Amino acid sequence: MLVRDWDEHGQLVTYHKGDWFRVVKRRARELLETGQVKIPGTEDAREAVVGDLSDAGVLIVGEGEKRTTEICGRYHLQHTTGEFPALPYDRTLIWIAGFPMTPQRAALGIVRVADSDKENGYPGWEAAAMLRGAGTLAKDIGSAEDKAGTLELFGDLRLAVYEPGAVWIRKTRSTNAMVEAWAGLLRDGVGSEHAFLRALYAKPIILCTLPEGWLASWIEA
Amino acid sequence: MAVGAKAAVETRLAIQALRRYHRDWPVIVAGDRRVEGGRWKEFLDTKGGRVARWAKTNLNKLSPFDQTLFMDADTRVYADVEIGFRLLSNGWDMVMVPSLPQGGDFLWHCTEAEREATLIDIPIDPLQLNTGVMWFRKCTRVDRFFAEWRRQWLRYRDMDQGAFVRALNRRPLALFTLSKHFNGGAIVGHRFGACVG
Repeated sequence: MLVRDWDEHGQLVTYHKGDWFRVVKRRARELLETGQVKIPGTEDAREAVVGDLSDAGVLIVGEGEKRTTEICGRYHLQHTTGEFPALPYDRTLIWIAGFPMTPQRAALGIVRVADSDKENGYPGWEAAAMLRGAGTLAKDIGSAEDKAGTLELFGDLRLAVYEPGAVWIRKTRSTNAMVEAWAGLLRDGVGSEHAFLRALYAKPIILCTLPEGWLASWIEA
Repeated sequence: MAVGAKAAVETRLAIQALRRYHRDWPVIVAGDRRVEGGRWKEFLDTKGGRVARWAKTNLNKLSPFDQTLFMDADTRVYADVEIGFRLLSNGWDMVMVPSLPQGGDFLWHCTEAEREATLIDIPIDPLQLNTGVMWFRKCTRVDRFFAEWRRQWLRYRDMDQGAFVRALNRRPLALFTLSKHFNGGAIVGHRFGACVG
């Protein structure tokens, strides 16, 4: 639901689900009584934003991640660890240990890869991954071997690079194939970013590309 | 696409630039006039908006090819652009490049009403994609996407990129994102605004 209210400059502003805004107590009571807002931090508020996450979980790839409980606990996400990317849940956040993450980002990415649009019934995204910032290109990263392998596939290294540190994936035949390819390249010693790009090249998936900096822009619900 | 004299000039130059790297690729020019170097396909329908915008949402119907590279008239090829076709051959539905404006400048060129409606439609910060360079293939999923794009464009009958983002949210595609070098960079230049007026 949307809320329209006047800001301190007298402008009528539309607030969306998850936004924070300041109101006087009387107005807050009105909005609460009409169900237009909920008190954040409560279970029903979380569920309203992210829905049912019982089929979802987090695979932490690598060792040394100390924030697992913090990241997974807020939305009661299952979690496990592994050496390489895999899909242990119907919807999995593949999270490289040490990569920046917040509980909200973890959950929101999972929401993005729901299997269908509940309102329209259309099939949904199979995966979501963010572009790496500052216009990073494949020619700028990785070893000479990594670059040579990617160049052989694509024919050009002036490619945008995805951020493999956090990838949200729903299990399907296509994504199983892509993740297997990705893990295989990593086992062969290919650098993280090039492995992800090459896996995508060979195994197309219905991929929601998130803008660079997306992980930094979530506002607490 | 060539609608109007300025666009026709730009299209002729765009075809010449393309031919330096891809001599044998067939070229179709959709619009209101013939352009040297391309086979003309007349398209005059506006649906109450601009011909070129509505035409873009009909590209899947206009193109006779199994795999198509669409380019705005004001683009210039400076290097081999076969990469998009390689990706389509591997099974990707579409290949595109993000727009320069993102975040707070998302859909800056649309009306406030359309921008707001788009942000309401999409649950998380969307990536704006530039529709000036697009590779796409013929398949059911892509056809359904274009039908949704037309439906979304008819809501405001103005720019096409807001409609594109809304359509993509409803009809997700296997869409591969290339770097800005492929639209407004070293491989494909984009003379934004050269066809306007």
